[in-house]
Amino acid sequence: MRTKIRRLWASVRPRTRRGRLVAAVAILGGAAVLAVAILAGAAMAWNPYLDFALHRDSNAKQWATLPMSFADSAVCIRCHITEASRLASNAHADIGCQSCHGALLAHVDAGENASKADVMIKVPTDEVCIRCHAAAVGRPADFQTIVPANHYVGQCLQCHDPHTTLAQHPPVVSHPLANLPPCLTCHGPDGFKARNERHPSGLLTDQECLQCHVAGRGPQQITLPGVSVPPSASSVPASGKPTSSGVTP
Amino acid sequence: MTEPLEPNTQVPAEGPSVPAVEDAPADAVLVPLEDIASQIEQASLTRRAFLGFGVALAGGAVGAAFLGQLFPVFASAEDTVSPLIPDYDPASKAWTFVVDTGKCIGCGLCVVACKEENHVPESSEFTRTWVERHTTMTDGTMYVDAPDAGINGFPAACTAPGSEGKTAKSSFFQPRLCMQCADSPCTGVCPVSATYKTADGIILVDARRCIGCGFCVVSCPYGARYITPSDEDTPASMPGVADKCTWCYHRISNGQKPACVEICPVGARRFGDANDPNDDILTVALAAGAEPLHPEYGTAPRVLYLGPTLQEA
Repeated sequence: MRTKIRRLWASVRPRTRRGRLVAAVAILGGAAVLAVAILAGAAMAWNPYLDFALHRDSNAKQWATLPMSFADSAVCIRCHITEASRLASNAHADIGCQSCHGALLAHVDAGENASKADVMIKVPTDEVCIRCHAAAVGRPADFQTIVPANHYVGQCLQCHDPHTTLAQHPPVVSHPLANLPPCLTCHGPDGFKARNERHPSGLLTDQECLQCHVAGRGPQQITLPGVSVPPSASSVPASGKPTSSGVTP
Repeated sequence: MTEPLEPNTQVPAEGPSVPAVEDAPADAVLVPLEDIASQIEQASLTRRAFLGFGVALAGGAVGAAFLGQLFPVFASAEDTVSPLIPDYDPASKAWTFVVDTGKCIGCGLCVVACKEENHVPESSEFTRTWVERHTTMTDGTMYVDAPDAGINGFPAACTAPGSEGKTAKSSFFQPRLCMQCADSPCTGVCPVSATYKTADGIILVDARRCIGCGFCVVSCPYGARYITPSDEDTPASMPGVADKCTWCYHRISNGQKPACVEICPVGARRFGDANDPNDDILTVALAAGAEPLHPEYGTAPRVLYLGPTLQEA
């Protein structure tokens, strides 16, 4: 083995002064280039300004520069003044818009000139209402809850305005009322849908209910067998507003 | 290995010691001057080469310092504002997170918002934040349930196994997240130093270094960590690494509140900077008697809790 190495060295060793110089320069120069490459690589790997670096700050920078989804709620009222003013003095006043409408930073960043598709926001479903307001063990005592089984579910926004938190008219009753018990069985003060508080609190009969709540008059269309619809009311649609054809000059 | 020189060899006492010739006999103490002249010459050459090497090193260092001034490659410890995140000075912040269990209604919107904001995987077993319901029954037994980490809200009755048919005496919701402990076990157990604490006290995970061993997951007494799955979009866009709540580091370092705080409809989660003179979050919370959760774990957790706790329920 040693003799092999000696023979190898004897075959390659520089024999002239110039050859020795060239060999020395080549070896030293190669070592220097290698050292510079290693040092520069290490410096780049630990350079906090480079994204691929292993430096702590570069990782903190990666975390700090991730894209956001949720906007600052204070931004919303710059444009949505009406909704903000309706919100201002009720139980939902302190709720940020995004709690119900979802992440809106893309909506904010889209700007005023964006297309409608870009700024469309999510209309809350009943799932959002129920999530908070369904009665459940653990909710604070002073928090308003409903028992979904005893309440209209699936149409919260037809009665409740989430911005003003005011409850409005009961929904359109779509089931046929034939052979059903009288109105006040369900709509009495303690019924599953309480009677509207603006109604007179005295003794009511079904006939008094039906003075207003007949088909074609007012938003609540009720069809009871044996109740004739006044012909003048037939042209008034369910929304309560007369159509243009109904208003003759 | 050096040999003592004869005093009359005229070699300066402070000069470099001359290495002995290897094949010199051990008893040859007297060496004629002309025999070691070449060695002295060689030593001088070595000294010259050494000095030249030193000068080259010094020149390189000066040159590097000069280049460093021209091109600021490394961040300076004297920088008050991090050059990496404009207008953000981590060391000046005393981030404070207050959770009020007396206000929480258990809607789970915070969990939803966290998933969306941070790209946390959909499954409820991977979550940075969650909501627990602590229920004490009339017979004195206590149950904790958090169906799907609370992301869908809570059903009317406790879902914990064994609680069926029992009547709740008292109950409260407890939102949970990373406590950003001042004395954090997770940073200590990491074998590759992938998880670390920033100057503002937020504990982050460097996903490029994390090997996914899970030591930090089991070391956390609050269960705030998980390992990202391989088949989904993950917070650091890297599967198989440890992940945890960062108090939305990308939001708080840009003047925003964490997404869960932003979305909480009842103000059960509050966030602020105790060093900000206009922010009284810490003084108000401490005046109301806020305490960290399970301080007996000894990790100096930094999330303060108001309202009922496990002991009071």
